[in-house]
Amino acid sequence: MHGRLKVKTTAVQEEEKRIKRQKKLKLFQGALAAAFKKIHSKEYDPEGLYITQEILAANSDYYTIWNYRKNAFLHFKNTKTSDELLKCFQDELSFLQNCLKNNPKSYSCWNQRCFVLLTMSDPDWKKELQLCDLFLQFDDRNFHCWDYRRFVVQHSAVLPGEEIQFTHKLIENNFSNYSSWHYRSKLLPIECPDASDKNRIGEKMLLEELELVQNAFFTDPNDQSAWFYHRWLLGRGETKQSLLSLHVSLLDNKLTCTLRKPASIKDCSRLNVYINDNPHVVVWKGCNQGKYQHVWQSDLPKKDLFSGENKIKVEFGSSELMVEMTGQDEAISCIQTNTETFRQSSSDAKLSVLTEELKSCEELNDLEPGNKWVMLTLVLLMRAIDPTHYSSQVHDTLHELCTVDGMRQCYYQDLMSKFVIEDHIAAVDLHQRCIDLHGKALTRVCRFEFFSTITSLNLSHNQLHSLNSPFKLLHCLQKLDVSENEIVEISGLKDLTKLVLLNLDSNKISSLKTLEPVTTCAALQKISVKSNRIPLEDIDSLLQILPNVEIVYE
Amino acid sequence: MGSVVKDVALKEDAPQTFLLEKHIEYIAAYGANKEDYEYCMTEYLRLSGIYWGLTAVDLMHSRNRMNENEIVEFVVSCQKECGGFGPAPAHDPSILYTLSAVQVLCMLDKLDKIHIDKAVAFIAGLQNKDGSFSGDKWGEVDTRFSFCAVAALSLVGRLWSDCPINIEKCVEFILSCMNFDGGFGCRPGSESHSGQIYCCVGVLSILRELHHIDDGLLGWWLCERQLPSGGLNGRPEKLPDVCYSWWVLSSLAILGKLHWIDKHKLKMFILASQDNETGGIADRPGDMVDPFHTLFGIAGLSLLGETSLKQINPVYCMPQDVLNKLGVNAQILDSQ
Ligand SMILES: [Zn+2]
Repeated sequence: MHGRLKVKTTAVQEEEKRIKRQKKLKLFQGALAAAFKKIHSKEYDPEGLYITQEILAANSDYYTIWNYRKNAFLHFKNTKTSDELLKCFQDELSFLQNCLKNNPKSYSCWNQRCFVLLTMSDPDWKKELQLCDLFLQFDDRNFHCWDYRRFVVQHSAVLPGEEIQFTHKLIENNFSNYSSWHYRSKLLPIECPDASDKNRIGEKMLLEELELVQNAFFTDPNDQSAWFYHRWLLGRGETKQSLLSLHVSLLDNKLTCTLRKPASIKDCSRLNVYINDNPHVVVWKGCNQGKYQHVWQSDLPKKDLFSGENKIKVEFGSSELMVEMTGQDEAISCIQTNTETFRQSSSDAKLSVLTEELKSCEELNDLEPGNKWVMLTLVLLMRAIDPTHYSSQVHDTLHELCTVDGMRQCYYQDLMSKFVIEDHIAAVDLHQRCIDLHGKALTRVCRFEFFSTITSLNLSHNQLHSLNSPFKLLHCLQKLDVSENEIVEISGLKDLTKLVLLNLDSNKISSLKTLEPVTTCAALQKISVKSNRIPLEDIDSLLQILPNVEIVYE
Repeated sequence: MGSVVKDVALKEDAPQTFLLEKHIEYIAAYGANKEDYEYCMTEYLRLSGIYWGLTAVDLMHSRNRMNENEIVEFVVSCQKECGGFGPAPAHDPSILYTLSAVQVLCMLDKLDKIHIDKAVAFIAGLQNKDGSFSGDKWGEVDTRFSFCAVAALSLVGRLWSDCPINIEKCVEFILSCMNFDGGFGCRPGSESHSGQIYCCVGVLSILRELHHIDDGLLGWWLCERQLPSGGLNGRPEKLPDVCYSWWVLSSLAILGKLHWIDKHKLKMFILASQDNETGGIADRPGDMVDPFHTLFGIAGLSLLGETSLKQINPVYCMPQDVLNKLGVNAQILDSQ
């Protein structure tokens, strides 16, 4: 079904082809009928093997026919001498090699080969590895053959070092070989693991590998294989699960914890609550829907807390947050953010390594101005080294990428939005509970788990299209300004029970239906929807649904 | 040495509008002649072929063009004693055709015609200790089979109540197939491939476990599949193809990143792959059409917002209205 060019033919040619095919089909179907008879009667004989071979030579995807042959070999194991059996298996292997020559991407053929090797006694694994060499010479991206190679390697104790050598040979031949780079990403962490992370490579090997991949992209800066691999080499640190904020409200009688990574109810068993240093058993409930959530809530023991001073502490692993209640209704505690908060997730390579890489890429950028791979790598390196120092350069480069690589401009815009939000979070004191991100050209929002205790958010004058799930994390939000965006939907505002003021002016909201989520915001006092596309009758309905809310619409 | 981007060029006279009527005729006529060479030579995947054709015409609001009774009868005749389905009555059962059977019967609202408990037992029996699934009793393991298992169980309503498989292990195996680029392959160690990525993202979506995916990294790899012609390839340095376009596109949709590619250019690529004489869609412009690429072309156009089509679900590759009726849904990340 792939790569068959449609050729213009005359009616005569068409008819000739049809007749020829009908003939071929008749033969094929005759053989098929005979084969199914053998299958049905479990008759495993030379005739059966012969017929099925004819069928599979014509169409190697008939897996039921291959299965007949598997059954036949299992049968022969009990009925034939070992020499006869060996001959059978060897014949099958050479037949398979022929089939694979004609159809090197046939799942069935490679699978049958695995079966034969696992079923025969004393298989010649070395020969199989040579067969892989041969087929990879023919097509070095055939993933069936690569998988078969890994199967052979696994069963014949080939050392990872030998396979690293093999991929090296292929890469030297042709740098643009994604399959080989991929294989190295699996082999190197086994051969030279990093002392602290077994999925990463030790430093000495890392430096050698960076040199190899640099060779590749200096030879051909448009070779995407090398760039994908390079991004992996520089790594991304795993974000550890930890507490981000703690919120206690005596009015609602609720304690709310926000975690850095989504957690399941099972993970919550590691959230320990102490009131005045006494362990306190609570029942956690997710703030939103879904198995994994950032925000978890529990009830408070009301009577204990209204009198005197109380310390409430929550622990998760090595992170802990504490609030002191001294008569107020509400208290929060948040982690202190800084430039390190997000840097680790961009790369976990050493600063010296990153700086060297940046130098090389700058050099290449001078040689090949306007190369998108170089530009994006520069951006990622600058972010990993010093986001503040390179802030404007990162911005300009991403802006340029939107033109250089227009098909993916939304990717670059979203990436920029993420950087802007991260930088903002790194710079503010979250205890202030006010976030101003207006006029930042944001196309998306993210990292809203950091904002779960804020009360006021200004996102006006951006390019947001929707207010969806991240907004559900803002359970303390009272005031939201999202005027002057391109918003078409606001599903994330559903059940924001603290929301009092909402400014939706100058957006693209087109109906009452879209506004429905605000009807669930119990504390809402004022909503402004000027300069949208809402029909007047929809406004009338809204006025009726929300009689106690001030609705500004013109 | 400058690398040459493998791609195709769209001809100026290539179709630029969606040929709805022609595709309906093409699918309705396919298989009408049971003696046709192509038709006969593909018997080993007949049941999937029926799924492709039926889904395509249903998306085109023309399910009535298919002989529903004949289809149901055929599907029923493909179920084996073990509960699994073969592609045709005489063929061996496989999890691939078991999913096709379930999908077809869901669309026709005829699930009650088969032995569901037996089919469920067949699927559950194929789960291995490490959480992976074999395709049949011969034991080949592939993440495609994990998708077949999870999708089929969810469609027959046996995933969340009375579930016969180990879901935790199933997820664990899928994650063990994750690669340096954020994508997934057939087995642990296998290279990322967009068909396989679709299957693994699909499993995690159905099981509500998408948070394991680095959506920024994988989304970047996926949107880099788009070539200057607008078509998408399945792996780096490969030619664009309508079927891979679907697998990449649906994965992006599940991850909420559909906007990371140029939708208009992809639409033009799919439209150019239509055959304006016979109807149907090919793997790329100028090639021979087949029902497989016709479905994935149409499915892609639906996801891109073609209004003459029914809405498609990116996880199940089935019309959304069918899933709504069944009350089946999967996790889709919000577009951010
Ligand atoms: Zn294809």
